[in-house]
Amino acid sequence: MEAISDRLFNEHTTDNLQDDPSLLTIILDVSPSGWFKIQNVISIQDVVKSLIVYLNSHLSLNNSNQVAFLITSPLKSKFLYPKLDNSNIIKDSVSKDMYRQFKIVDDIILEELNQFLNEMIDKIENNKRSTLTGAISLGLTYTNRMLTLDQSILTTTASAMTTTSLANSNQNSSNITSSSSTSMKSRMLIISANDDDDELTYIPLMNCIFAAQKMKVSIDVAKLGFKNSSYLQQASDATNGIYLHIENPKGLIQVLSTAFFIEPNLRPFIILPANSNVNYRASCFITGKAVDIGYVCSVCLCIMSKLPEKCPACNSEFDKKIIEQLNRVPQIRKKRKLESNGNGNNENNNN
Amino acid sequence: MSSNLFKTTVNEYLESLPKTVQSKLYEAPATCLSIYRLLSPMAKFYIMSMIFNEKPVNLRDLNKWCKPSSRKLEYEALKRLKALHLVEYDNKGSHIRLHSNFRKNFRDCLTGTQKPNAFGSISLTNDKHKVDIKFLDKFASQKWENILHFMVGTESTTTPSKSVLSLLQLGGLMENKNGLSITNSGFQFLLQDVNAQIWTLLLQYLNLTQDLNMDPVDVLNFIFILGSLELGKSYSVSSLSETQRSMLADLRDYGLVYQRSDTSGRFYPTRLATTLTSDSAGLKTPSMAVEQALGEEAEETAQERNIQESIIIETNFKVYAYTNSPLEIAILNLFVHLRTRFANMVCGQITRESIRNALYNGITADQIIKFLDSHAHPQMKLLAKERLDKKIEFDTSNNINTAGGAPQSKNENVISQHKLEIIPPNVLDQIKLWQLELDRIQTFEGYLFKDLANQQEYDILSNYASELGVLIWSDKVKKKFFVTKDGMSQVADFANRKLKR
Amino acid sequence: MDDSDEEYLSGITPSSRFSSIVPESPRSKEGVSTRTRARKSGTTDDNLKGNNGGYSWEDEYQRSWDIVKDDDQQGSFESMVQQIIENRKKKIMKNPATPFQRGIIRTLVIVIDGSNSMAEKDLRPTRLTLSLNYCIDFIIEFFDQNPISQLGIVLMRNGVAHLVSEVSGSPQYHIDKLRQLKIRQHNKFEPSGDASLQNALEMARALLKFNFGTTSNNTKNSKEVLMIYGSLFTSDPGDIHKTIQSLVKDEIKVSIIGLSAQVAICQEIVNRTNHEPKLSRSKHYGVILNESHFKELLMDFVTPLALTEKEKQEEASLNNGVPIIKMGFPSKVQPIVTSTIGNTDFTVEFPQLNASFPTQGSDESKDVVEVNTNTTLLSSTTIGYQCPQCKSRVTNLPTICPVCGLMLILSTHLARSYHHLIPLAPYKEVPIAESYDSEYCYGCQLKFPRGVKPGTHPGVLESMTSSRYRCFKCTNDFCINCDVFVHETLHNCPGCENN
Repeated sequence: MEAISDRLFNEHTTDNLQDDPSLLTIILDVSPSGWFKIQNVISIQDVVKSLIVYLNSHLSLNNSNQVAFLITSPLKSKFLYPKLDNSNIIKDSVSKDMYRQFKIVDDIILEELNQFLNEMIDKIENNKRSTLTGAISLGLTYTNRMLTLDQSILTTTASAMTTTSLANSNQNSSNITSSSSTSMKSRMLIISANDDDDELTYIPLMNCIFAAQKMKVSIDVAKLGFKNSSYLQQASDATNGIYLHIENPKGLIQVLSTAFFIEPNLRPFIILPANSNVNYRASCFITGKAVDIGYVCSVCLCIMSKLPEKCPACNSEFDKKIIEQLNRVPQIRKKRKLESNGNGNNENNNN
Repeated sequence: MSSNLFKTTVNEYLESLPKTVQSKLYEAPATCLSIYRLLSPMAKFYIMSMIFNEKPVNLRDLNKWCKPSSRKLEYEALKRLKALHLVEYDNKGSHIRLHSNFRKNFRDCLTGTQKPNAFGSISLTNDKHKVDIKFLDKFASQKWENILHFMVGTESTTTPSKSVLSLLQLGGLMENKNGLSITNSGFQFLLQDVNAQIWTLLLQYLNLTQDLNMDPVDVLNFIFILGSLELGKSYSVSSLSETQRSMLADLRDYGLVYQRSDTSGRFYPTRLATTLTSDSAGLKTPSMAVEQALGEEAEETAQERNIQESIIIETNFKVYAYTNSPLEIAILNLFVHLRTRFANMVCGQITRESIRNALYNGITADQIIKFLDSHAHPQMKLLAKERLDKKIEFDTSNNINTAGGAPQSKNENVISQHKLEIIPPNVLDQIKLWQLELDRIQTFEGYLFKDLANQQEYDILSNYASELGVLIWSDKVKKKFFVTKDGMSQVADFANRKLKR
Repeated sequence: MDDSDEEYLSGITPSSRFSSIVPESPRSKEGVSTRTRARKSGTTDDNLKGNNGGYSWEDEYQRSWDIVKDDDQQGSFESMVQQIIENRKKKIMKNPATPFQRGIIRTLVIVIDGSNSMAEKDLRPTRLTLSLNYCIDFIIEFFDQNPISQLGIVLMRNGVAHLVSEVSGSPQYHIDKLRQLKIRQHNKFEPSGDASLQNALEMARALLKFNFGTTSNNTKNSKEVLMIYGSLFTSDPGDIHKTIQSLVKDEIKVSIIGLSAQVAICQEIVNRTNHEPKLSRSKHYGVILNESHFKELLMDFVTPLALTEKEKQEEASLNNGVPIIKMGFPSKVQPIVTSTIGNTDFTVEFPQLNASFPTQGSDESKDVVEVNTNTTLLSSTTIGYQCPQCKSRVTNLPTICPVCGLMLILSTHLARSYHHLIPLAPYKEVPIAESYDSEYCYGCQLKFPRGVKPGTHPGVLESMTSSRYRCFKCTNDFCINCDVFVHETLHNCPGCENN
């Protein structure tokens, strides 16, 4: 009988899945080299078409859902939406055939994208590194603002409007509310066709990952092209995101609307699609190549794939004896193992 | 919280419609969008995953998307979709697909290829008598509050129009015993939030239209279109159907739309209308956010609505309400023993007697709690939030996982168990207990499963039922269990599948 | 402000005392120091003159609340608050911008006082409970910032030292131990007896010595003791000075947080082990003012200590250089989730790619699901990490591969401390001007307040601060919130990353 009376108390806890508004940040990597390689399979235009439908579906989920669209190229990264000065567009765009909320977003993105691509064609240089990390950083700062400053969306309209207007005028609502971030949810989707992992800057990417982890922002990655990107894999794995390598991007919209459509508040309930193995490789500080067995400087923790005399990051000299030891590892391997079994203190010996 | 209430009422109404009407409804893209927004997150996910998929989906595949622990959510979502006929089963019952009309129109809506004017047509010409958002807000709240005031019988309120009066009577909110007076369900009505109240009236209105031979599809479509219109923009009347035009006058009485005169060729939706299908939680649309970011006129609208959140409840059951609106005081008086009244506040005490009075009036504990929740003073909400954060923080530090990987994934479940406790928990529990005092017997319709062959069978079936959340009672020794009416078919199906082998 | 004696310390003008909160600004000149303005103007006679030309003590006494004038000028109070907030945020960010070496592989022993004095209730609920709570926070933060460091915990009670947790690198282990301690703090481990510095330090020394002995190549690990000390005395079995000497010899650095008052012996321990002049004020010995100060002090020890000059020289002279460690970066092997519905006869294997590719298998969508059941079942039930050298699987990181002895670590663990290596230069506030180049924050797209001619609206927010913070590398402007976020959490400048 207790079970029945308990109902009154428990009924609302379990089945009440909160339908909180969420922010979706899309980062599209338009690095020409990657797209050139897969030109036979899919073009940027096709992807953008799918993405716009995807954005619309996100907006259709909830009236107060928000989107942000960033673009990244070797040239620079940039916000396409929200656009800084879009007052004229909002005022002017009167559309007959589309839900206005969709229309505004879509128009701005398309217009800006075309402009950007034209710009890029003129200025592109080949040897530049990707600025994806810059785009992620931008996305995170924007998310931060949405989560802390404007997060009062949760409470009723009135207070939402008072606090945000306060925030507009003097920004000081942040210190009242910054501690709590339970209302607005956020996730990020990166679409990249860039096959060359080493173009990514390692440390900034790692910093982004930790920041995203702290903010509970999931980073989803849709990787086109031919190869897996182990760094992006790490990014999504560490942030509870979804990483998919889409080899056949023809039905991209279907993948977007299923695998990448899992809202943050649904994540605990759905089995996330996952690639089997995540390669947690690190980046060598000297060569910039990915390594899975490396040498680590004990002063600054920088990772190296070969053994230099001096640490490239902190300039401290390495112990010559140890370098010698490490260099002739294969011969003494067996002997050392025996030793380490003997005294059980193998971490010291390993040095 | 409170938004779910109106969602369920609307959903229930939509579910009760015959299939043909539903199919017709799905022909309008705006309606598709609105109905979609009213669904639960899980159902939304299912729809989205099927919308671009040409082939029907195998139910077994669908099952696999969900974690075993959240089977209940899945079951509820599918049940809802089925009732709305949004999904169709093929004859074998193993595959499902979306309702074709819905699928086509919703897809069109997302891709922007639907027929023109699906979302109302904005007047292109400039209005000579342009009105701003502030005016619309004032207009809407004046109209609406007038109705509420009339219900509680505040003096010096003008009597609302006839159609409103007849609606109120029809809905059983007021009754005519030598002069109109409010009924018990009228009191319940007052306790709901604005969105739910409007929907209650609109649903009554729908019932009424059927008697008047108006096409309910047309009416519903118009309501849903209203929900997707833009605040502060004027729309032309000319594109509306005859039925819809005749509705305008009524909607104006409720404060949902503003029309300068009966013959005016344009109308403005008010905030009450544009937020019809959205959560009351998030009344800020992206475009509004942009406008606010641009620093436009956001501030004035904020002031007036602040009145609504004014109640402080202490752990000693004392209630303080910073209000002098007779309406709110009247509502509070339903379940609070009011003691003192000051110029800008009233204080009172929640007692067993006062709650019981309310319960006798047909008000439920949940309604009271929801009312208190949504009207709590911002300071209380802030405190509650801080407490919640502390709890979450504590929990996350309980099982931290610094070992790389995904530190959030494990905690997610823990966090989601915490609730924002705005009302002191002891008060909350006590109110519920007082309700339990009154109804000691609860009845559930359902089916008893018995005569199971062995313990194993019992385990399989009862576990399955509890996973679905339809199990009401079970007895392991006697090998019997009781399942709700809704869950019966599902469990029986499962039993047939399982036990045949 | 409310004792008039202070006014005689004429060297310090009130505005300079305020400067920690409100920096010099037009506002503070009219508001804060109305009656003392004359003082600044030069001769000593003038210094004593008050507002009305009389001596300052003849003036009307000015209360602190008089300083804040907000009735005549709307918004001056608001802007002051704004100013205070921004200043606090600036204070929070004290990330040193110059890269310097840190002994990042640290071994730390936390010594917690469990003596009678810890039952005091001046910290809520008790000193001990609060200390334990803070320690848990500290441990999380510590391993966050020092991924490959190790830590141990010792409790001082009844004149002896108890080992709470062994020196180890797993945060979970320590937290579990501390939690156990917390649960039993009323029946078994209630605060009692006296504290013994000597016993505790000797035990800490033993711990540090045992794990990182004096074998030549490990001298560069920093060995530290962090003590939370609530007592005012120590009852030792022997001569504590001998212990101090051996600590110095073993290069163990001791830091102490005092909960009640400064104690001479603590000061001495700290000064000597940190090679500081005798009885000098040290950042390694702090006495708390209140709870939040306690936490602040504790969290200061999270950041790795900088190497002192002396140590650097030593290092250079020793010539055998720093050790280098070989490490493996394993790959993660995803589990297959298994659900058993009903009983064992019906087992569903959740495929590794489930909801993701319905199109791919939609021709015969039922076939997507049937994956091989037997082969991978045993090995893949839990998340595992595969050693890149010997392919054996471990479940927890960081660890040492049980098969080949390779140190396994996630690259993300190492990367956590990289922002110490390459700190981000602080942004500089853009000076107040009539107009600014930038209209929006580069990071979050927030609109900045417009420039205002000085003096047109005195007291309005804009006249106090430009609200723009510029990165001097990429010359982009950021708002204060982004500034804090970028330096505290992100450690990347979005602008610089884009070039």
